[in-house]
Amino acid sequence: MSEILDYIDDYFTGAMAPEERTVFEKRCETDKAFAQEVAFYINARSVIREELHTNKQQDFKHLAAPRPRMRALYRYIAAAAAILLLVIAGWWFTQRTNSPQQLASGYIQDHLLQISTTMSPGADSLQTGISAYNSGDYPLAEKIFQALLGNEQFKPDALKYLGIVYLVTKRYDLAIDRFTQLTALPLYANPGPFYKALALLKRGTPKDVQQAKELLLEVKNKQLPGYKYATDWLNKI
Amino acid sequence: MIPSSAFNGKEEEILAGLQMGGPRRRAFEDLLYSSYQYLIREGERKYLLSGEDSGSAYSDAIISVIDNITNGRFEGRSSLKTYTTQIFFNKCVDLKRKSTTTKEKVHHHTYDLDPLVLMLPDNARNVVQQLIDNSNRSLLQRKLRELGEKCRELLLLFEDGYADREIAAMLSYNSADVVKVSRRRCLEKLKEKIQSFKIGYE
Repeated sequence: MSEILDYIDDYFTGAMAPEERTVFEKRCETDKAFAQEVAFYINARSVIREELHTNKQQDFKHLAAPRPRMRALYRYIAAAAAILLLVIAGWWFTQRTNSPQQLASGYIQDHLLQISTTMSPGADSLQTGISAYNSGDYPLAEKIFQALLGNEQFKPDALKYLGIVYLVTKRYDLAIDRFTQLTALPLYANPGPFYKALALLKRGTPKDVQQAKELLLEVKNKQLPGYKYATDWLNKI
Repeated sequence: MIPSSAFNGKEEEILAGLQMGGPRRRAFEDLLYSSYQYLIREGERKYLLSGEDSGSAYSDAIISVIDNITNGRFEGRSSLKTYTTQIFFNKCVDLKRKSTTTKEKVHHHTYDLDPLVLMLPDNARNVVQQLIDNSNRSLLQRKLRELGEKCRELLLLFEDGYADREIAAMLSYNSADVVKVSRRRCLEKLKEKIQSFKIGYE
């Protein structure tokens, strides 16, 4: 039996002379039992080759498995990190750029569009100015407050209100100027620094914001008018 | 044949390593595999295959490339990269076709003629192929697994294209002739297992 297998192996491994090959091939056609042996030989080698193929595929799979998975993982992590970074950057950016101005605008909206007239009773010029301001007649209010600057008694209020007029009419340079003058006055509780900070925040150049911060810190430390807002804003800016 | 300088350094290294044979060939097979592994993603993208399918098409392609190189069928008409890519894309198309039509199943046998059968002239081939078609392949697969480890290793290495003298060196046999005799004895053992199973069954 073994000789037949050797014989067949010789044929398929190319170790047979041409004339012998012809005899071999003829025998396949005529000798069924022999053809059966050849079929077994081919089948066996085919099955072995298949097994080899499967083994190799599995080996390669081991080689490949960690890589794509790691790559996929890295991709997901990178994508997630990028999105997170964008969100944080976007949030930070809006916070950074809008926040100081928004804080100032919010304060103006809530507290400065209407000034209480009951604080100093009497129908003096200051009250007329405030009325004009409250009714939205800013040019008239400006004129009145301007006129009052010459009066030492009303000067602090005149400076304050004039600054506020400039503030709501968005003339920040003038507003800052008036509030600076107000700050320089020897008052017990000077609202100047806070209003100046407000005007600086509205003008909003990076240098302004920095200066506003310093002023707010001063307001906070000295507990000047507006210090509650100053404390709050310092945490947010 | 294009001069070997047409290959880049890495390709040349892989080719030389695969052609050199011996125990170090495995390392170059792995190197070949990892060199073009990015093709798996291309298979997914270009042929809309799943990652697993594309991966298996890729290992199939690499196995074919190795087979062709070790058997001297790679003529170096193109770079190794182009050659591998081409074979891989063909495998992808095959896989795609297989999954979209059922024709493949019907004609499976005629498509998959064993290369050894093709060595026979027409008349002899018809007789033998018929016997192969009627044989019990799964029994053979089972019995192959029952063979001893040494036999299996020997048969697998031979089928992997290693020469008898290389196998002798790798598995510590005295000579190539001993390998040849042992290999034939292993095949004989396999045949006996099948026969005794058939007799027992009958």
